[in-house]
Amino acid sequence: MISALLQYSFLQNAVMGALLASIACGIIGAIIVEKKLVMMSGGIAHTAFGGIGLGYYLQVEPMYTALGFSMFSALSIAQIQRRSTVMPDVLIGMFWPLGMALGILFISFTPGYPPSMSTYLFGDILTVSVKDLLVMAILDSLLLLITISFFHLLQAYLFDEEFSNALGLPVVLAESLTYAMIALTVVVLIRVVGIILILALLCVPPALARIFRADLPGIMGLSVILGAMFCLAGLAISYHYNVASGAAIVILSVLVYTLVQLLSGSGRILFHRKHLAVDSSDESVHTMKK
Amino acid sequence: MNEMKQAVCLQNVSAGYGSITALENINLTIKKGSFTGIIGPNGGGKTTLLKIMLGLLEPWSGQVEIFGQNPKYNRRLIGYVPQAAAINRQFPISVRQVVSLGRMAGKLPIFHRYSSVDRDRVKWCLNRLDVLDLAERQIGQLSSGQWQRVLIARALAVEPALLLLDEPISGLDASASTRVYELLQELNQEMTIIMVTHDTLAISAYVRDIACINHRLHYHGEPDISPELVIQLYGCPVELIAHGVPHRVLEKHGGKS
Repeated sequence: MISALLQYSFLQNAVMGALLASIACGIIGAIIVEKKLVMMSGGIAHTAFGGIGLGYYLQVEPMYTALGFSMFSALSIAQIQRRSTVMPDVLIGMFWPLGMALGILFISFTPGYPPSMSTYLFGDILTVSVKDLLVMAILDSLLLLITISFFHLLQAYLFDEEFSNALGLPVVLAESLTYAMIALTVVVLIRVVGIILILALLCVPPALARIFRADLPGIMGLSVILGAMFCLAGLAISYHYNVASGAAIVILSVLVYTLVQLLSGSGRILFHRKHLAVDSSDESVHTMKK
Repeated sequence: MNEMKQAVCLQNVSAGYGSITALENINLTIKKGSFTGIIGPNGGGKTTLLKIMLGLLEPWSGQVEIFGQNPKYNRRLIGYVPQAAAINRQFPISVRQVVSLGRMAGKLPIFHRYSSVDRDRVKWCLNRLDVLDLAERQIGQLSSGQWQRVLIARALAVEPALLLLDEPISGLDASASTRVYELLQELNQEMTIIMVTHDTLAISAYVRDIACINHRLHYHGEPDISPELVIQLYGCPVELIAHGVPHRVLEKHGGKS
């Protein structure tokens, strides 16, 4: 595969795509896992399908319309949540199928043979173009810029919203940034894992990373590395066996996660014992240290 | 100048959620330097009252003043200690980072960094609450008593003139609660403290004033509560220890137990 990598530019693009995807999935994956926004992100991802349908219908680049759709629905959902007491679950249950329905609607309006949607639904990393890479790189830079420049605000919002409000911090800004970043991430990941399979790539790296790290930047960094490993390995499988890259990446990553959890079972019991010792009381901690 | 002696001043405050009234026509003045316990049954509006003082909830009607101003403009004077159980302790954050969040008030959120003054204040708070040696621990690896002290340290990092606590000892054992109360008593020499509590022991031993809330303000003053008031407030006599007589139980539950 190494010689093929040097020879074919489509493979070089695929490797670049995998690396760019891992940046988005690592940073935002960590955020959505800690803020319990995983299913919300699934909902936002599926609204992007409406955008892809619109792109085909209007004959424009589907990535751009997908970005518009996911951004609009992410910010609308955040706004509705602020104004009402509706459960997030319910909004997810509405916007998720709404996106899919609009996508199907637009595609059926599109004249001629219906285009194959599997690239967008399941990802096809081997057909990533230079233009796709450019879009991914720009969105990645935006994600990095927001995360770095607003890190303390985001940390305060993710950790304790009520206290941040009591301090008078701009919580609405933090929430809007978080939701907007989810929308950007969806678009970065569509070409690699596809709309339907995005969730696994967002969940698995941070879920694994938080076994080893207990600080947010650490979890983000390790998630980026793990995400890159999964994407590159998935790309290799996709190239060798000619399967959709999204499917290869998802199966591989969830399998690895399950194995790590099962194999670390004995280790976790030890970890729990340590926890219990710490938990019993202040005094026991002090005596333990002595 | 009279109003500057008041930490909190509520006039004719009514508030609630949707169509449910939580507080009705509350008039309450809390003097600077007092240590006030807010008691009342569950659902009686204690937390709502706290949220109004914090500026997190707009009252339907009436006036709220914290040190003579709308709470929204005086947020940097308030240190808030929420219920310890309300916070996700799985979150990947260290004790020091949690306390540092108290230093973010009033700062520009973009490119925010903690200054050396901030870091010194955080260290001072950690030391004051005796959790400095736990500073780099992830918050899930603390005992309940330690975690409660971390939350108080975070509120102190704000450099508040008023400390608001929501059930600061729920879930703590006797020795950990005593430790928290003794600390609050010390802090009371520097700041006004208002505490929502179910702990009747604390009311007699530590608190200097009480306010009894059950939708309305039923009593405000020294913690000498009559059994009649308790019945009026809770609907039945609860175990209560009278002020100055630390071991006298006023009345046991009678009738429908």
